[in-house]
Amino acid sequence: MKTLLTATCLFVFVTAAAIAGGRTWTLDAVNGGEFKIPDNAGGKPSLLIFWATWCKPCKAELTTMKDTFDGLQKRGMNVLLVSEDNQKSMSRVKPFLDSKSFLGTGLHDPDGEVLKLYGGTSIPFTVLLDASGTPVYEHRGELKDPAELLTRANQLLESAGE
Amino acid sequence: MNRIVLFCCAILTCAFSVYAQLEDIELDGSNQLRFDNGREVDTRRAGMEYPDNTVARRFVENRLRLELFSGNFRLGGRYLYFRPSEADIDQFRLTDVNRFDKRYFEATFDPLQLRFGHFSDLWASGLALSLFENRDLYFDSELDGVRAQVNAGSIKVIGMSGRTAQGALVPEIKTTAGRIELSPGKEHIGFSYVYHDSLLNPEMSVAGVDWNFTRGMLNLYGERVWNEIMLAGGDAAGHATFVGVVISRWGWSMLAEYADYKYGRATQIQNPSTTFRDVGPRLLQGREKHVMNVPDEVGAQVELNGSLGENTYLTGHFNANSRHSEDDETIPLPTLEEKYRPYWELYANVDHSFTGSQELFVELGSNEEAANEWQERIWGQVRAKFPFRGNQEIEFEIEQLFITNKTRDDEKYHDMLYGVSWVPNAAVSLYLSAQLTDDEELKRREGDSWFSGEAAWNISGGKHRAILFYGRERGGLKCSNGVCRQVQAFSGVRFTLETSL
Repeated sequence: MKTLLTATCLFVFVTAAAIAGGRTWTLDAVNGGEFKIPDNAGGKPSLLIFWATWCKPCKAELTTMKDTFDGLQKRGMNVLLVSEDNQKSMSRVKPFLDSKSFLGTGLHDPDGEVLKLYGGTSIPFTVLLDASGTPVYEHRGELKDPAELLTRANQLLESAGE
Repeated sequence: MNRIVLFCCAILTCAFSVYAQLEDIELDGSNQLRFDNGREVDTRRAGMEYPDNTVARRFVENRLRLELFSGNFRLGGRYLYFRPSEADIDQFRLTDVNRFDKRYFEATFDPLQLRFGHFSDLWASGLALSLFENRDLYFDSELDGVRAQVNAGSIKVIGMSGRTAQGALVPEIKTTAGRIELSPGKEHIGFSYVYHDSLLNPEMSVAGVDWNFTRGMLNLYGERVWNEIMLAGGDAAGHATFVGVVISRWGWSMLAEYADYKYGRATQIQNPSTTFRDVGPRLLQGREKHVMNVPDEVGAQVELNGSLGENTYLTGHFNANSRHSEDDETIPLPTLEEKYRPYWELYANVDHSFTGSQELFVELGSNEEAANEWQERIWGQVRAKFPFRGNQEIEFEIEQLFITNKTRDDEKYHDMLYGVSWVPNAAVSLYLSAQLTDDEELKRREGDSWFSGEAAWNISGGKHRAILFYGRERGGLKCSNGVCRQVQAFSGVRFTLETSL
């Protein structure tokens, strides 16, 4: 049965692939509603910051890089703070983000689906997407020096017509 | 074997044939290698003292993930190479693995999303359905099957069917589930039905409703489920409730949550929401940690978070949990009577950033747990970080934990942790730590001192990451994603390499 399914999938994939590239996903927003890539990206580049309330280096990164992330959001980038808290600690996400007044959008990824989609195996993990949703930069571990991220982000924002 | 060959062919055929036709193809992959070489405490030698109770630990795991994206399609798989340690083979009946153990195909044509293969899922507070994998804990409840989802405006419909991977911690379970979620605006209300047919446990069905409403500074959420377990002598019914409220205003938030779980028997539900803190100071994690008893537990927690100015972040927390007492009224409440295995915790912490980027974190707390042992604990934790010479950073960490063990005639003992980390540049970090205890019982089992060093290196600007650990690591309960496993004390070398392809 599984073999048949695999073969069917293969057939469907090979014969039907004729559409523009990119990854699509939908996550619940911390403040209600949903956020979809690429629908809600508005043709702009996006920065995904994977973190969790129980992750010490993640919170350290969010605190030290707050000005950098807020600055990119102001310049037109979608800054997405993707929480990997599962349902056990999910309720702590909104209080933390509210108290820090982040400008970016908080999202819930409780079963790590989007983290896995970009090859993340641990957090903190940072991914920069271009306007089409293709990853162009990633960083594993705590981001301490934003120089390379800013260089890539500036290129994307300039090409997006800032 | 045929399936592996077919899947390899599928990956290769797809890659080449689609590359030949299209430019908009994205091939992505990552790899994680983990390697241990040393000794660990062996539970089979419980009668012996440390270090005679240890056994060699050699562990290798390599996970290669490959994915192909093209427009509305996604095809992927994971190749797992796994050599478990001797103790894990004995304790968890783990076996060697060297094959594609995951494969999936996903097609999205708005409003329909269709997925075949392995997938994880979580509905609301996880009282009805919670599927995920955690390789660290050898836990895998991901389904291998089919999942279909329709997003039609404010209505979302999900259906799925499949079976979990069989393992020492997860029996094979056939699951069929459906869900309807209505989302008018930012609110949502969902209705779920899940049917589990396990080869080891009785069949069970769960029906539930969940909600999340936000109005201004108020956020109300919760879930209520009713379960029915099919037993030979007649069906048994149970229920579970989780409700919460968050009030946010002026940079401050108050959270209050209540859980009443009375499924009645061991269920397939692994990690519903908890009304206590899962991750605390490191010393506390090594001690008897509170683990929820899903079939029978009631609890509540209150937490206050907020900022004083831009540089100071405060948290205050209290929780109480126990089994249901016989005196339960209409609304069950946790009790502190020992026979109901109570757990309570009170703590407060402050996180302050000084001008000049120095940072200080201080936490004080106390808790009491009557589980395998009955312990009262008081702890203090201080971390201070100082930047220097441009981009360099040094952080000092001290934890002190004082325990009174009522099970051992109020015996008192003291755990200590001292750590220092140095970040010479953005790519490298070094961490040295020492843990000490004067607990004679622990000294007999795994010694009274644990010294270790860890170096982490971000390669190619963070695209790859290598971590090398050497020294002694204390045993204890290791929890992740809400699932806990007793990890034995380890001494030796551990290497982890994460790479992006």
